[in-house]
Amino acid sequence: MFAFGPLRDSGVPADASRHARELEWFDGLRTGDEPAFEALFRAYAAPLCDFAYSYLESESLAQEIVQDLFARLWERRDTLERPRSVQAYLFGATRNRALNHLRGKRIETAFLRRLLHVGQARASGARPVPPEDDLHANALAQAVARAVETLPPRCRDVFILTRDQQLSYAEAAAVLGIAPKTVEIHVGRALTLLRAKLSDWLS
Amino acid sequence: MDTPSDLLLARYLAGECSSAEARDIDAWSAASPAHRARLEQLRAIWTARRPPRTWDVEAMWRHIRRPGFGHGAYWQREPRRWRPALAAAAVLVLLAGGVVAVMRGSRRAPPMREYATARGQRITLQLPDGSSLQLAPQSHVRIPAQFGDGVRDVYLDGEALFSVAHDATRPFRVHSQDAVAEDIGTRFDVRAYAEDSTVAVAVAEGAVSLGRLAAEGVVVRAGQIGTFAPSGLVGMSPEGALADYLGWADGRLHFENVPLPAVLRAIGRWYDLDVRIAGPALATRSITAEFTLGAPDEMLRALALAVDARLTRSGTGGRIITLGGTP
Repeated sequence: MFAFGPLRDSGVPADASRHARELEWFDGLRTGDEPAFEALFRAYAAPLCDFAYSYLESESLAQEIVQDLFARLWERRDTLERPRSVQAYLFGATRNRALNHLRGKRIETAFLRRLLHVGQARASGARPVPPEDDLHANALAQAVARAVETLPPRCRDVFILTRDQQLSYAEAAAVLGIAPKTVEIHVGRALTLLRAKLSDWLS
Repeated sequence: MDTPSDLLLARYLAGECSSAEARDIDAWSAASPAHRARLEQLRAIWTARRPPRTWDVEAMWRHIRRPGFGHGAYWQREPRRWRPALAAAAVLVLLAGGVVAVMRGSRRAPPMREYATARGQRITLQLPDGSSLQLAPQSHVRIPAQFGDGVRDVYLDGEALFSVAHDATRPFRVHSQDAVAEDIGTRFDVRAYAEDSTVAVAVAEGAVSLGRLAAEGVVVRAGQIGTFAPSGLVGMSPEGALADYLGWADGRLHFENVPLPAVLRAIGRWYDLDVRIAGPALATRSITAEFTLGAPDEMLRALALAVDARLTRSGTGGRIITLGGTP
């Protein structure tokens, strides 16, 4: 995926051989082939963690979710069905788990607060912050990241998949189960909204 | 071309447009600085990504391939049987659950009674003069079987909340470590756990003098918390909240900006659990919270939520609880 480089007509998968290889790994997983499972894991661990992180804002939780996902895949390998796209399947499953966790956390917090008269425990103290190198570029990146969080949910999903995870429109559509045209509309809308929110940064 | 829509520019930046469309946009952009600026604005948004994170893929793989993995990493709620002493905020009088020993006194010294609570226990004691005290978990107190005509002396290791019957002729003295808290009639909490190395006295009503035995003490008044250090110095803690020291007697555990390790130590005492922290970053966090004394599951989960860490149980009966740590 390039911002200004080789272009292609939409609809043709950017990397057909990659898709095919991943399907082979997935088939291997279903038959209990450990090296195939490991190859699949190593190909997807980091991108899925990044993706989960964009929802959870917690590295340990992101890792935990991805770990859970792969562990369950192995446990249930006998019952797995062959997906049309391994990438769509894994990203979709990760997203679902992340959203479930967020939903559970909201419910849990509300439950604790309501039922037990627990003022929500507030924690203070230094939160570990990842090191930043280039200050200016990262200042903009931070501003963009914060603005992305305020996008409407579906719009945000699409933007993260296409810009951060660098999925094609077709691939993002497969992950979310929507039409590629809808993806296209969401990306355009995201840029419109972000440009308005970040007008101070861009002159 | 007319100004391309954001949708079209998005496709251009994402590499999704056709070669024909790309040529048109390049031409449009070159036509004027204003056009170019508009494109560059969107390009800046598209390419301004935060630095990639590093993930410990090896550790994740080792964890996945560990036998027995995959039973749910999140805290699972299980029915637990808790010690009946704490199931309700029940107050037990005198001997229930406590240990009593009567020491043979010498001619001068009156015979003493000893009471002790284990972790997860507390008791209320009525004293011969009409005073009462609530003994917190993991604490030990010695009380004379009878108070004489002079001072009323009790000896404390741990924590207790005293309600002292007023008697100006007989000062009531609580001895703990090297400190003596003396008063003539009031309500105050003394916290003197050996592992803390300081003695704290929080006064609810009245006034208490805190100092070394036979030395001039510092007066701690209602609403104040005095701290006695091993050096003998007494300081007033401006940052402490009275509820931290007095709430437990009413069935509330209150923490005001208390470091997380101290919070977990307190929870460990109250529920006879071994609560540990994994990861040095967590040890620097402070907690402000108020919990109703009940089953600790909710309390621990609230803490885990507040510091965004996971909870795991281990050990026989699941009594070891670890907060934090990478999977």
